[in-house]
Amino acid sequence: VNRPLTARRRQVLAALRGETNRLPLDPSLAGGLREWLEDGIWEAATRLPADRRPLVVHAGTLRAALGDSSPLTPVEWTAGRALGVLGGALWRQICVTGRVGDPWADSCSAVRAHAPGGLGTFLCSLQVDRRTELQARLRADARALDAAWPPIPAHWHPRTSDRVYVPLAGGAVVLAATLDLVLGAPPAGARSTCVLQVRRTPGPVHRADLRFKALLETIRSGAPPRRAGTFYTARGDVEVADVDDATLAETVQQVIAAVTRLCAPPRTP
Amino acid sequence: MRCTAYTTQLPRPARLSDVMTTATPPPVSPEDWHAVSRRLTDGLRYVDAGMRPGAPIRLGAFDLRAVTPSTGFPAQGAGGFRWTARRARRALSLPAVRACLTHDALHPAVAVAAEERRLKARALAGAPAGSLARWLARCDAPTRAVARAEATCWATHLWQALDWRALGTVPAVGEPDQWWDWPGSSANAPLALRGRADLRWHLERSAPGDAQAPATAVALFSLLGGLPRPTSDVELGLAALVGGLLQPDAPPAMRVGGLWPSCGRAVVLDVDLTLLHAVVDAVLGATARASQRA
Repeated sequence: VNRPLTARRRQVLAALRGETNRLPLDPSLAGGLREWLEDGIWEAATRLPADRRPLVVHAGTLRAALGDSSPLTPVEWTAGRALGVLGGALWRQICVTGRVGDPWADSCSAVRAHAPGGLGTFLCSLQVDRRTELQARLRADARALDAAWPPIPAHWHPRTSDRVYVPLAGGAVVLAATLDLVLGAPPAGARSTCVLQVRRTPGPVHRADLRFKALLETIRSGAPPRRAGTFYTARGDVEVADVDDATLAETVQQVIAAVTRLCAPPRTP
Repeated sequence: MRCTAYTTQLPRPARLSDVMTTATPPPVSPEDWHAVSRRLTDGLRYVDAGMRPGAPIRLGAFDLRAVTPSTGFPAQGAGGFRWTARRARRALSLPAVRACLTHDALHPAVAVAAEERRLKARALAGAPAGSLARWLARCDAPTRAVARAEATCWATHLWQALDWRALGTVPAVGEPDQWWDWPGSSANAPLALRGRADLRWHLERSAPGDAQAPATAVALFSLLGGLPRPTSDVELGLAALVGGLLQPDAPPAMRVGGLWPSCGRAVVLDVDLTLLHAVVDAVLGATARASQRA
């Protein structure tokens, strides 16, 4: 990817890299967290009816369960949500190829190629003036994103839209997430990976989502990520921090509480 | 059938390479291979008797999944094959990993981009219709970017899956699929079994009679999407069965392995009679299901 390294882009790259010190790695941590999860959800998972297996738990499902709202409410498309998805597609294109043409056309093509979903229907249903407004906002986001996103060195082994599944209780429950960007080699004697999610603007739930994703990456790869953060496409900045073991433990407790609620039989009126 | 699944030991690539290459089991004898082959062909004759004529059947690892028709077993050839960004990832990533192995590229991301350029050039030179090269040349830049992103992710997972130096030899990456053809009878359908593995390399093991001359056997390894299934063992074993049926005199596959990078799980199996018979059972079951649909 041939992109000049401006001061702004250099800042983002430095944030992703973090301090050069090696962070200690407890090789038994990932196994311990997994056992804790298995123990915590086992009883609830046995009550899960066969027609609801496997129960797939995403970060959004987790939030809904902990917020005591119905986790099965279908997702409704809004302009903000559409902008987030389209901006994410643009980010991926810039990350992989280093360039983007017309933001609207490119992001719509990329979304169609990657995950058709219901976004196309939503965009087609928009009035002309609403769509024009959305296109203008997307162009602004694309400018901010292009100005800030650095070329990622190939030796950092970047993987975009990396899917993670953690089956629990014999596959009755599956924790699932898509990691927008994972960097680094497999962990050996030290923590080695960095996990990044891409969002449009800061929101109250992003940290919780990120902790959930960091937990899943820990269990999948056998070691916690070194760094985890969020890149905001509309502002073109990044918030990244080291991952600490206490946060992962706290997230395990939240997952157990959420899965227990999700496995409970639906309340009858 | 010894099964090894690993989850916790670090570093995982070294551990997986170790499990794939060491303590190789005794090979399945030619007589046992003959018995497996006979059991398969006898079973196919029995299934064949129930088939309708003129419905050729192709079976790959995917078809061995025990899915009943009511839950949506994919109809053969329904809609035809069409390239998508997701479907292109294996075809783009395997040459990229090969380029990394031969030091033609230093990193998977660079190698995938180079492979994409090579295919586009091939399309300009007149690649056949329906080929990946033609599809890549025709699709727009964002779709190509998604395909490259998916392939880079897949290639990086494969590149990071093993400690390549510990394998003892340079594996063949992305060799063409092997096909074993069952001609059927004059009135009934032919069958083609597909054996597919991402990596194939020679294992060295001491020959029982001659410690000086190591005999060679083959290890097969594949990267798989999603989560392991109850049928994963036979899906992995199918490539060993097809290889053995096609080339009875060639070094047999002794070990098959699979890694599911989405969940970080790996399965390594010894190729023995138990596994081969389980694969034969699964093939016969899948053939019966396919013949009922035909």
